[in-house]
Amino acid sequence: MILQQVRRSIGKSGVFTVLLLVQLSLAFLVCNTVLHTSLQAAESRKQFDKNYHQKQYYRVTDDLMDEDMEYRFWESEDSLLRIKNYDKELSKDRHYNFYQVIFQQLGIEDFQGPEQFYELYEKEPDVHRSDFTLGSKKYNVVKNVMISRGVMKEFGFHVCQGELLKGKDFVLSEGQTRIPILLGYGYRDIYQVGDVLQGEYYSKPLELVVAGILDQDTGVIQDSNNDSGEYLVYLDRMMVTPMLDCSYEPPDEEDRSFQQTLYLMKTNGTVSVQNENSFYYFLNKMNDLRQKYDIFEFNVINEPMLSIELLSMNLKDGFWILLSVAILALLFSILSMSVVLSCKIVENRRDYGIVRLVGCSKPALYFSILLEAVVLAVIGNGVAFLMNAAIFNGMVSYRWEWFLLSVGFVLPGCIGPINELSKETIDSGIRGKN
Amino acid sequence: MVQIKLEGISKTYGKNQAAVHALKNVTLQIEKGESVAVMGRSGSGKSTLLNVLGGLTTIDHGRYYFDGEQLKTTEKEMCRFRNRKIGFIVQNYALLNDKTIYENVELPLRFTKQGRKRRMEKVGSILEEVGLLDKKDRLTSEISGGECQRTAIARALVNDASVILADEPTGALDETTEKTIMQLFGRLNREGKTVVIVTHDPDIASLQDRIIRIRDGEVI
Ligand SMILES: Nc1ncnc2c1ncn2[C@@H]1O[C@H](COP(=O)(O)OP(=O)(O)OP(=O)(O)O)[C@@H](O)[C@H]1O
Ligand SMILES: [Mg+2]
Repeated sequence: MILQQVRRSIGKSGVFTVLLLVQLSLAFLVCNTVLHTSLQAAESRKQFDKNYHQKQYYRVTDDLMDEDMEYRFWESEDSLLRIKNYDKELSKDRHYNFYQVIFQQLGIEDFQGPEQFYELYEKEPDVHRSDFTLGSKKYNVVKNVMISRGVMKEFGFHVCQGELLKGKDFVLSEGQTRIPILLGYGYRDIYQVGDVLQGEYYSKPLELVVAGILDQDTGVIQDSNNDSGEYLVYLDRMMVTPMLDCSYEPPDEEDRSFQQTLYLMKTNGTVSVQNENSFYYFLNKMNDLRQKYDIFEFNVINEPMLSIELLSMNLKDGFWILLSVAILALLFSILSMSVVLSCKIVENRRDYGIVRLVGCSKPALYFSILLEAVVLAVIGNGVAFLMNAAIFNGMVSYRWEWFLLSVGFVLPGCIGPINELSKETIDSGIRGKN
Repeated sequence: MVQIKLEGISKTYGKNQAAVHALKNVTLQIEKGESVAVMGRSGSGKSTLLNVLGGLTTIDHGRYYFDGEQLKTTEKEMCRFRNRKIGFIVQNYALLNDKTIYENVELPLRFTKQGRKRRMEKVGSILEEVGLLDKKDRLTSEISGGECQRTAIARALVNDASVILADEPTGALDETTEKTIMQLFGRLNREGKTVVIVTHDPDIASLQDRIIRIRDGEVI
């Protein structure tokens, strides 16, 4: 009987119910996104704490701040060979993990993905000003991170399609024009394993072959430019290219400058160690190698992993706005629900009077209002779920936590209507005109 | 045997200056199987009295005995009382307009624990009694006033109420229909139901065993 009452009530004043549902589902959609973002960050944080809390991280940076110094360094004939050997020896050791994570945009010819995958999308969604032409080819500039081999192990990369990069994938030999790359989870419906993209890698045209698609929420830590700690950056919307080793002498000036850029980047890395001893071991080794290969000064910056920001970089800026929008939308929709349900009670006062006349109790009617709100919330969640799937295409999962929360949130919206109903008398209901 | 006994009942609507004393210290008795007409001028408190008798409203002072027991005023008890003991009929019928005759009559049974089959039997036999069985699937928004009133009466009877309270049940009906409805009440009364009818019509009142007159909330 109560269920029937709820169905009747929802069925009545259909337009308002539909409007209310639209409002509810939009609010739920935003709220779920916010909750998803926070929960995901918290979960990753937990995962990270579990995996990395015992470890210590130190950043290694080159000291070539002024161009003069850099120029002098490259002047010498064998500097490239020296830095290559230095890098090779420093990278290979079991006592620590020396790796590079470099966020470096990538030019892709005839890019197929959506706007969100473009570099600078967060800051300027409309303009892709960094798109450029090289020769006769037009490149779109997309988000990309270059990683050395140790990164995959350090951050536990897994693929959902294809395979991870192998050791030889990080080596570029003379005349080679193809390199394998990984793609973030968001690319899974855009490109497939085996697809070949025409790309530009530090001004060098290369064919990029998709070797694998990473799992959802694969992330790496990036230190922020200012001192606000480290970010966990999700790679779902990024391409992941290998930080290459060049196994050959540069045949021309262009290639030399390409290799120089590459190896200079490689001197800037992060070292992760299990304990202090390993760190001093690394430090000694680096000093030895510096002398051995006559390399300039480096800085080692202690980088304790204590302040990993909760939110991924992509969402961080917009998060507080999104949160405010979500709260406002939720409040408004609960208010609307309260108003619509109250109106319905006035509209249906005769029906309420009649059912009470023949034995329905007030608490049962209150319950029917609560139930109606819950049913609306459930339908709203259903619609929001579908919209979520359509809009985010799997990037944001619809959370059961939100489903439960939303049902809880709509209940206060019943206070007004229940109060309204409590004032109704049977008498005024049954004698009133309909 | 006394079925209904009111002792010093008062009912006031509103507060302070706006207060309306609809019933003042009303004391009366109604025998089981009696038919009673309640008469009085407009605003004298007839409907309020009927509401009190039907358990539709709470009382401010006084005591209400039904079948010798004082009526409990908890929501649960009042609901039970309205559902089991009383059949209440009003001038505008108080039917759910988007439901069929059958569904309207079945309504009180849905607040009991009776099964579907049993409900069907009961509704069927009561509709037979008021002569609406062949129209049971018609929506009540599409039937005549007399049929509406018969539906309302069927609903009042379906849960074996022993008291029928009717507030101007024929006020909106033409004379012939009024006559059949009043005959129906007469028959129910002869079958043993207690009938209380609020009416302005002296002819209807004269058909009843007794007339209770009210003036300004007082029984005279
Ligand atoms: N819900 C209410 N709130 C305030 N005053 C009310 C309410 N219901 C009835 N009254 C007042 O109580 C008094 C008695 O009303 P009641 O409806 O019982 O009269 P009545 O005898 O049935 O009149 P009528 O013949 O016009 O139906 C009237 O003065 C009426 O205005
Ligand atoms: Mg009246």
